[in-house]
Amino acid sequence: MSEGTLYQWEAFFNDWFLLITAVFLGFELVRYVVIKKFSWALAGDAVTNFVTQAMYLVLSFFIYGAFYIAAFFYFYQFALFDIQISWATVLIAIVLADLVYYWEHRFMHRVGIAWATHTVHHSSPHFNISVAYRFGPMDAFWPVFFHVPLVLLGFNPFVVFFAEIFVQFYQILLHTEAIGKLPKPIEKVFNTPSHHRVHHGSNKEYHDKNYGGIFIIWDRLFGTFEEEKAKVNYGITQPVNSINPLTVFFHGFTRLWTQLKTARGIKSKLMLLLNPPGWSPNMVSPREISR
Amino acid sequence: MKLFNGIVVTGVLMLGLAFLASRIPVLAASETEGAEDQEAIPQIQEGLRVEIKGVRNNKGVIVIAVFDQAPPFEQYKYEESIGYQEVAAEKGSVLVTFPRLIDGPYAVSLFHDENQDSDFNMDGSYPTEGYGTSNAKDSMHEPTFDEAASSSSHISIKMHYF
Repeated sequence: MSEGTLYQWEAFFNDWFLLITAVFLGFELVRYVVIKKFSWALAGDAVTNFVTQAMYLVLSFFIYGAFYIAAFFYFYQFALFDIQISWATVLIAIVLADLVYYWEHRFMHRVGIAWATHTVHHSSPHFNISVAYRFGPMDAFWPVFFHVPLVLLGFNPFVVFFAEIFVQFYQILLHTEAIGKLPKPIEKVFNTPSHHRVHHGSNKEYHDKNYGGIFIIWDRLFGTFEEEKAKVNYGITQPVNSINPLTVFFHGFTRLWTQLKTARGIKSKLMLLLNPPGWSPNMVSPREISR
Repeated sequence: MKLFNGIVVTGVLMLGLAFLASRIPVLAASETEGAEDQEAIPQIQEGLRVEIKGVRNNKGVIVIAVFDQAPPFEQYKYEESIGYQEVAAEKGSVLVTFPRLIDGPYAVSLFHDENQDSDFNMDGSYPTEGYGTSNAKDSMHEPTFDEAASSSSHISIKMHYF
């Protein structure tokens, strides 16, 4: 197992996943027609999703990419352990990448400035595989801070990058209503379409739940798990109501900016950036809020 | 679970699993190519023995070059090697000896020149002939000199075919 092999696997994922996604989306659209849920707004929303992905990739490549590479290779000098690359260590890296992803994801939901970018992903009123590609302008920025610890522990930067991408690709498959609950043992351990539907729900009981990437065990362990019971309503508390890709892509920041302008005093403005979405200067305590 | 407790549990898990990961090559040491178990035995002055495994047929020759310097090794400058041979290919294993190479460490690079055109043939960026390097971890690995170099008098190399 060498860095070269990891690079080959990454290229493989990149090539095949888009194809698998396209085929599955086709199937989902047919299903929408059959169950009489199809609308042109839905189709437009799907296209918008891919446009936001394109914008996200351009930003990631030209801005965040260099930051990522520099950070990883800089901190690798201070590695705590000497970890060789093998199938076993890559697997462990994936498990740890999933663990840090749980916290990264929870951070993106509970800190205002991070929610401004992650809200884009949650803003679609629909739920199908194209939503998996719906991304915001700073989605590639925050993960660095959560993954540098893995490099500091001693995992090779290529391995950490591969593990991170693996955790992302797995989740693409979760964005669908077409797959019901899987056998109990799987639902117990792994993140599934059912668990992820809950995560995307705007139903009150589904707010800020099921943050996991590959494994749902972290949510169970840290108390953020919720079972899918009531039918899920998708989207955010205040809908975007647009399929304009630019409107969608920037709506989190547009809203945050409006709030910042109206808030009085430095402390209120700072709190808007740090506190969970839904907080406003009139409130007493941020603990009370969930999205 | 309280947030703080969750973070503590996470920290413990991360340290624990990373430590476990760092112990793994210790358990799997026997899998690496170019096993250096020969070092404990006093060196008999018979030079360097290279065993090439996984040769796929009897066609052509195996071109093998031994290096004691990093730059020519990493640039595949076979003409600047300190040991060079072309031996008839035999399906399975081939043993090549360099009686005068008694020091080390040495890095070995070789390829299976099936059509005997004295060239390592590729189709675009994919090799069409077999290739091998000392201490290569898998078929995609291109070791640096430091990774490939071995002080052992017996080096085992796997011939990879794309």
